[in-house]
Amino acid sequence: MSAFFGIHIASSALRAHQQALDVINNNVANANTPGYRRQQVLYQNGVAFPTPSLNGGWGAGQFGGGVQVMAIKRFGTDFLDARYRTELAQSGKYDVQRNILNQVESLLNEAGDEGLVGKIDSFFNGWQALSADPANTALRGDLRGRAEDLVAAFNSRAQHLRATRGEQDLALQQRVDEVNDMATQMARLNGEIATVVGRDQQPNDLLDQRDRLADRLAELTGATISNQPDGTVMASINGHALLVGTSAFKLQTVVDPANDNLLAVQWQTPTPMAYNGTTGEIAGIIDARDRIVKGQLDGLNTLAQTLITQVNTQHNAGYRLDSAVLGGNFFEPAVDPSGQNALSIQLNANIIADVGNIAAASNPNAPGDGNNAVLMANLQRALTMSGGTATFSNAYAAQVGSLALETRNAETRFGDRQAVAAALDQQREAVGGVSLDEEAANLMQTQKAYEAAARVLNAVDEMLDRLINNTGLVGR
Amino acid sequence: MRITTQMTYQHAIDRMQASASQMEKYRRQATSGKKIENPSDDPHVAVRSIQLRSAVATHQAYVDSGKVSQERLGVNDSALADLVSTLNRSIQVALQGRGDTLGASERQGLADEINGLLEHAVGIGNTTFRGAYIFSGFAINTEPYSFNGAAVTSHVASTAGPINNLIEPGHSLQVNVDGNAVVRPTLDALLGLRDALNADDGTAIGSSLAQLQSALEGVNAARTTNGARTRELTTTLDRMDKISLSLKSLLSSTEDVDMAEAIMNLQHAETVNQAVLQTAAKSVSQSLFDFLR
Repeated sequence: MSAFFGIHIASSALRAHQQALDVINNNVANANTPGYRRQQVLYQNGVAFPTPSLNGGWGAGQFGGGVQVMAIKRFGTDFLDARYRTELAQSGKYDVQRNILNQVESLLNEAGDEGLVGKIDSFFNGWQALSADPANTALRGDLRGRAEDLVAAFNSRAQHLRATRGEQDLALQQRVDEVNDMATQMARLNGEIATVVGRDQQPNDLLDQRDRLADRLAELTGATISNQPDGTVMASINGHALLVGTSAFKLQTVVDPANDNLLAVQWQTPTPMAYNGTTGEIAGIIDARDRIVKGQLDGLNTLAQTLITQVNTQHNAGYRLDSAVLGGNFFEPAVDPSGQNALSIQLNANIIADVGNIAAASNPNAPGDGNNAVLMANLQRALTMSGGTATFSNAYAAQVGSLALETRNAETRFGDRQAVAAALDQQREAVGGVSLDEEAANLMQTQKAYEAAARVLNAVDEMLDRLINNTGLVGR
Repeated sequence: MRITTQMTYQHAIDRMQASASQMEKYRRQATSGKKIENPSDDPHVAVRSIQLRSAVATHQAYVDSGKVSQERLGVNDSALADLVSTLNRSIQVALQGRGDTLGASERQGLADEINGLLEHAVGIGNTTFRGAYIFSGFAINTEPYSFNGAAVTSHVASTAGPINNLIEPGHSLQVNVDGNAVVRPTLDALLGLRDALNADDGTAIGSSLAQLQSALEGVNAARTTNGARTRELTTTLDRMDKISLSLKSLLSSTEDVDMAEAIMNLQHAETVNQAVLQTAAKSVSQSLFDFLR
């Protein structure tokens, strides 16, 4: 056994603890990095030194050969990741929905005094007031003003709802781009990770990076990730592969003429097919846009169309002020071929030109006759909507109620899923997060071991010094 | 559970957010006075308050227009009352004129008085309310009667109307009096009496008297009907007012916040928020690094 063996042991200890110190340093440095998983060196005793001998008996053996770092362990959380991502996909879906619906809700502004129900009531109440004093020009003007308010309320609501649907194009496009970009990055990381794993090293930081992408991917699309033996991951959205090995299968957006020329999401390859995700932000946007907001818009259009038809019919049954001319249409257009009545509804030009053209009378040349106005006011309570079961106001109030319920559902589900996701993330963090106190303790421990190794080296050095410089000087 | 540095901070931030948003919720309630800001805060309350608000507005509209109808019925009544006193005076004159003791010149004097009463009655027939002739049915812009000294002319063929006002949902009430049925016989009887007096014809005076009495009956009947309508309207208006009031208080209890409760809640939330901030300030400042040399 060499006299320098001690130096070898001490230096292995210095080197191992130096490495450990660097790993701790890296942990501390990444204490605030999202998705960073703490790392730790795994020490292993060095190769033992057997005492050479022909037949043994030379003495004790074997001598430990110092320490070495076997691996740098990463505190991964694969077992929690899948569950966390499922919850994240749901909370992502309801998060975008609640944002869109909150916006719609404040645009529709039905909780205040300026709601559409109030405008409809005000319109019919205008007829009611006119019926008691049908020749009163001021009341006629007031009725026209109320009708203009109603028309404007329809128009602005329809515009807001359409704009809200249109704005989702940008949101979808951004997310599809993000998904494609992340799939590409993950494919590249798959390649690098497989190489590093092949060299029997630990691609810890690459894994962190890929996990971060996988989290966001799940939030966007609800993609499920499965680990492969070679270190790569596979990602699929509701059964359709998104990422296999180093190849990514991308999404694209196309204009859908069947849906108001809004963007539809598709798989690019092998042949374009409809996007099939049911959770995640993209599915949430599509659901909110094509089911909930569209439902509101359709309901508004139906309301406008029914109102136009009913009011026009009644108006054309009456006579203008002190005239034998029938009322004609009150609202225009009587029928909108595109079905966007709420957007296109306007007052008839005759009404705009002269309030005398409002037909309040049921008899010709009868300025004092307000019977047609009475019949018109009665429409307020007529069961004209929902297949003859609801009044205009009630039908719209029910529609507002259903939007409120959808919004509330989205809020509640987001809250629930978010809470579960947060709890799971906390568990992940408990396993893999950095605790500065713990690192401080480890730092102390490592530092002390390093100092001790240095001290041992000192002792060996002194021994050698004694041997080399101060031995065999007898008689000098 | 292993507690990490990020967890400590994140937890502190989450708690601060939660208590701040709770505080904000009560602050909004206290400043707006409303329980809900958006329908989704409570869909049930939202739909209920929309319906209540709609009912309040509708009731208010009926109450407002009901007052116009009330005025109109009042004008009808005073016109008819005026007509009754005119007729009563005419009947006295007719009774006086029928007496055989009167000579032609005295009857002439009475005829002059009747002529004045006739002009007055024509004026009553042409009464307007808010610029509309009340006895001319739908033709509110046409003066129904004119008198040129020799004959009374009707300018409106049909004065029946009916002019119906909606006084509550689904309930309409006729508010006009048919001038040709009520006023015209009075005018005709007065004209007949005047001419009979002028002609010094006792028999004709007698038949005019009968005409006057039947006209008076007609006017009184119309007045009774009008009075009954006024009562109906007043009862309805009272009811509408009461319903309107109870709807308003229902609306208020549905959507208005209990101020005392909101302020108590706000104060509680502020206390919680302060506690959260203090705890956070203490817990996040702890670190082992502080104690290592």
